[in-house]
Amino acid sequence: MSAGYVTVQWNRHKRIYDACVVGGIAVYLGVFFAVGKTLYAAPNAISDEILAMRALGTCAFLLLNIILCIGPAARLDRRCLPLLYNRRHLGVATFLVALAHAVIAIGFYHGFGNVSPFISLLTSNTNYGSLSAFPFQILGVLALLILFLMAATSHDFWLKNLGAPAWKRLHMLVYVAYGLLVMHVALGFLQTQRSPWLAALVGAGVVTVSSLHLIAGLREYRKDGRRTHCSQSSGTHAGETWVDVGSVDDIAEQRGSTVTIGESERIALFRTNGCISATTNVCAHQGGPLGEGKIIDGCITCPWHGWQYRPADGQSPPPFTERIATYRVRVVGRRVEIDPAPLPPGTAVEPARIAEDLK
Amino acid sequence: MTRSQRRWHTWLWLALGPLIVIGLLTALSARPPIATQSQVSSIAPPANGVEPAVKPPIVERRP
Ligand code: HEM
Ligand code: FES
Repeated sequence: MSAGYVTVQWNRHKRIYDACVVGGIAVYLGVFFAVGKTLYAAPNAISDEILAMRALGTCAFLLLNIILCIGPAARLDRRCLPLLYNRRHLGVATFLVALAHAVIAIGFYHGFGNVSPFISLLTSNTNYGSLSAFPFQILGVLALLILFLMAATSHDFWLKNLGAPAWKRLHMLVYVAYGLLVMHVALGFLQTQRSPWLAALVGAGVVTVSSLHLIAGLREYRKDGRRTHCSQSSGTHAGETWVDVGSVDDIAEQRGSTVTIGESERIALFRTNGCISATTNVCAHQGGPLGEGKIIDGCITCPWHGWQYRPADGQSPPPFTERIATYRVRVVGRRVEIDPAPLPPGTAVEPARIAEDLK
Repeated sequence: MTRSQRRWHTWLWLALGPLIVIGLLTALSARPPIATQSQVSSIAPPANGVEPAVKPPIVERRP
């Protein structure tokens, strides 16, 4: 669950996920090689090195397209959430496959001269002013560096040490890497391979990735604008404001829901054991939407990677030490009311009991 | 994600998506015309340093 100076905490789900990733990559490479050998039979034969480079390059590019679709797809459809759970391992696998592609490309095209392959890679083509003769390999190098940086810092150890905002910003570089790779393929491979299907395939990937992000983003934007219809009342203490955010019946037992009050961050409400509690909706790990999670073993469980917090005080159960902001909450009749001022992370708040459940 | 992260993300894709599509289309429109069969056998390696992956057919020249 939470970050510590420990190696990857394996569990059954992660093992199955990784077995599927490794198996999927092996099957893809095997099928690509077998079909490639048949398609490129004499007299159009290509060497095994070029076939291997293509198999690995297309595999890494396909994986990156899939990785970029997982985030918005999980926002749009909960059934995609299991794919998000271990997405970082998919990212590391993508880097390793791309690295193998790059090693073969550098060895094959730059390894036989009397200059160092890396010097040759960087200096053999300097046609930066031309599109059709552009040194597209450099774009691949830059993208590979970004993928390396992300793979190397993917463990929660780095998330904790860099801090979530800096880590998130660093990992946003994946979008830059994607742009570089589309151009790597468009200015390299697609310049010599003229089948319209290949260009259409790359284009379809770009359109799918971009539109999924836009659709998910616009949906969230509308959700943020659609504030919970609230009526306010003053509290018994000075400065206390209670906002009616809906009925207890809107929240299923052991589940959460989300409310937006004014311009504030979303607030997550949970119903467990006949009580209502409220915390921030933003998970301390990578900002996952806690209100879309469930109560498991008495704890709020984030739908993204399963970090847990106690509903009563927003603290992770020992030995973990993460804390999230809590909110004062009360139940009046069957209505839930919240004081929209967040309390410091980890503040204990008496959960509000639902009168009917007291009987 | 926080509200500002969500907003930032949407703006980013609003700009990045069309930018990548334009880049792709520009690269495709810059492709040199397809070489005819007779040109293929005398083709020089492309300037970007990559050999054509499909080897040109070997034309037997008999007297
Ligand atoms: C050091 C970095 C890299 C170098 C030197 C490099 C080099 C090359 C070369 C020489 C080609 C062949 C182009 C052709 O056949 O016309 C190629 C193609 C390709 N590359 Fe890269 N590449 C690098 C990184 C990457 C990365 C990081 C990815 C994806 C994650 C990638 C994906 C592809 C794809 C999809 C193709 C088209 C299929 C193929 O021919 O393999 N490359 N690359
Ligand atoms: S557990 Fe990763 S975002 Fe919540």
